[in-house]
Amino acid sequence: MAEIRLENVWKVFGKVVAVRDVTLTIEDGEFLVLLGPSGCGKTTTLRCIAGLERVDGGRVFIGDRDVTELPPGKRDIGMVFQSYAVFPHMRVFDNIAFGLKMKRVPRAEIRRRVQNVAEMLGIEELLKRYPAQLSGGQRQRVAVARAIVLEPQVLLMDEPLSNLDALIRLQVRAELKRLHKQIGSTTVYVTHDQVEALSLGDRIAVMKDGEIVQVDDPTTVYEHPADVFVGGFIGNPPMNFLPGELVAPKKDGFLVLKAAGHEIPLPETLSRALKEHVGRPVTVGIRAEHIEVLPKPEGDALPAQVLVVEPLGSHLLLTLDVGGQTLKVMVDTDLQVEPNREVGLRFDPAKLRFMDRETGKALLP
Amino acid sequence: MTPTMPPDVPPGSRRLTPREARNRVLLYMAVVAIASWVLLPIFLIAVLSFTPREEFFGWPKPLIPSRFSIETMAFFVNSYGVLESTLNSIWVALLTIAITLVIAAPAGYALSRFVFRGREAFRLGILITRMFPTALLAVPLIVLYYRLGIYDTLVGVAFIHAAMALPFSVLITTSIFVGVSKELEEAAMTLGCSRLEAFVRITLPLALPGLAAAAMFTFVISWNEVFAAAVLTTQNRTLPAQVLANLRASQPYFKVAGGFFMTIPALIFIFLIRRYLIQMWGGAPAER
Ligand SMILES: Nc1ncnc2c1ncn2[C@@H]1O[C@H](COP(=O)(O)OP(=O)(O)O)[C@@H](O)[C@H]1O
Ligand SMILES: [Mg+2]
Repeated sequence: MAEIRLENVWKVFGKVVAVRDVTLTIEDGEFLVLLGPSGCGKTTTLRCIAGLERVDGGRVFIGDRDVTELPPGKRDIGMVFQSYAVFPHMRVFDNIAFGLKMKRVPRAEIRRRVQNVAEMLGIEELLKRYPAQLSGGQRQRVAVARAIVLEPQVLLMDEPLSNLDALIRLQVRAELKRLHKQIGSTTVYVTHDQVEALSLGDRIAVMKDGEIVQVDDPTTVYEHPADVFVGGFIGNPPMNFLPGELVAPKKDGFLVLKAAGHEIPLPETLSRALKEHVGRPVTVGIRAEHIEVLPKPEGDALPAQVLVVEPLGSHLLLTLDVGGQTLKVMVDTDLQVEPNREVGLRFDPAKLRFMDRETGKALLP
Repeated sequence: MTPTMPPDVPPGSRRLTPREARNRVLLYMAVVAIASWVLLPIFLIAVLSFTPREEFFGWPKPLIPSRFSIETMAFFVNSYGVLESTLNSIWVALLTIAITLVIAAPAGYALSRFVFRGREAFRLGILITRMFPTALLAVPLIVLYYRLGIYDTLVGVAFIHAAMALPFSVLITTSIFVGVSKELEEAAMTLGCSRLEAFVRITLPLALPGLAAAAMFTFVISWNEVFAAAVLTTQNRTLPAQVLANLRASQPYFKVAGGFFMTIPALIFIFLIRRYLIQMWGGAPAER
């Protein structure tokens, strides 16, 4: 197994910069998810690692080998394509055995290894079939089997679940996670689905316009987005953002946040950390589930008006109006609310995320 | 609650609605009309070539000759130069296929896989070669062929036939390679193939039906081509050139026999690659 290192990698198609100066180290045995909206350069980044695209700048390392100039076949990688790319003129067995045959592995061993992998993926019954006789889910397994039978140091997957039905997708997702534990290849997994990313990744690298904006473990990416884009892209519903301002206190060292027509006092640690940003326009972010809704506006709670109530089965999703700003809030189903009702909001100031209003970047790490 | 399913009847035994029946009748009528349009001349010419000579000029002609006679055919086949020119024709056709595929397959591959400057211009430009009638080019071609020392050779004829077949062959091969997903090749490359190996092991087998169609197309062009073949040869004639040279002086039954004889190789050839054509156009997987 091996780590993957991208150093200042660029890839340009005519006028489109698909990958912009990406530097990223993926640790040995890690499951890294490349996440971003469609067209942000995920596939291109993956293809640069695979060697299917020549980089226009920078270097690619696998283990301690500089593979920048090596063709895909010499990089010791396995790749699962979005379309699966299962060879239609070969039986499942020959599809899986293809890489082994290219490496001139002895026949008996080929048979043994294909059998092993087929059992691992539950497709040993299908070995004699042609791909045209398989379902989408089965074809996807064949593609995975074909990639891992070579026991590659690096496993690359490009949206492997995007062509499956929602139900099968959930099941295969769990299987992929188990499979990774079992084979231990350093894995790079491309997806535009943030739920997949959160559930699968040891770490998530969020991409936007060819650049990597944040690389962190799923909890950090979710709780501490590096900028407004990440907070808005990850999570369902996305993070709430309100324009606000940090104002200096009169007497004690504590800061006050002015947002949505209200003044929210900040606790000591937060005040100290944000001191240098006083007077600056900020964007405040808060997750929908970090806001508590009281049936009545009372005490120090922020008054808000209910606009929409959407039952989601396990939760209620409320759309609220606070001082002219719209907030999405997740609450338990036993809360009695209906549109136009006045409610009170309470939240832990420690859950607030502060971003620069102009650059969108988080003010605190 | 369960919706009523149509009863399980083997296909064909179900009663047709009047509308379905009418459509089916129309379909069969169309099939018969198209098939007879193609087959009737072949049938007539075949029957006439096996008709005894004394019956040939009789009227009314019997639909089936009273006696199966190979006299006419034998006369034609044994007449001077026919057998030889047939072999020439076959050689020229095979050479033409070889030359065409060697050029058209890579050209089609490049057009389908790579974006390069002038690609669209090339795609259109290749058709321009069909703009000039061969008659116009005959004299310069003869001069050129003399200089190159390929006048009156089979290779020479094959070259001009290949030039005629190439524009369409390149179009056909391009669309064939467009139809073979690039990702299949890339998958093979991640599994240890070089680009060439990926082409040979993945793309080529998948493109074979289409290439067979291109080959058939080329064969037919070469087999039927008469003008260039007649102008560019004096001794080494292809069959159409030979027949053309002798046609005016021949008896009608000689013409009929020649006509039938010339259709045979095309029929055999199409029969042989029929499977690939059906696979390509009918979508059914090839039997293995
Ligand atoms: N072969 C190519 N030729 C030209 N542009 C390309 C090519 N491949 C990708 N691009 C462009 O590069 C950008 C990134 O594409 P891609 O990596 O496929 O994005 P993603 O996988 O994140 O959806 C897009 O704008 C896309 O149009
Ligand atoms: Mg993609």
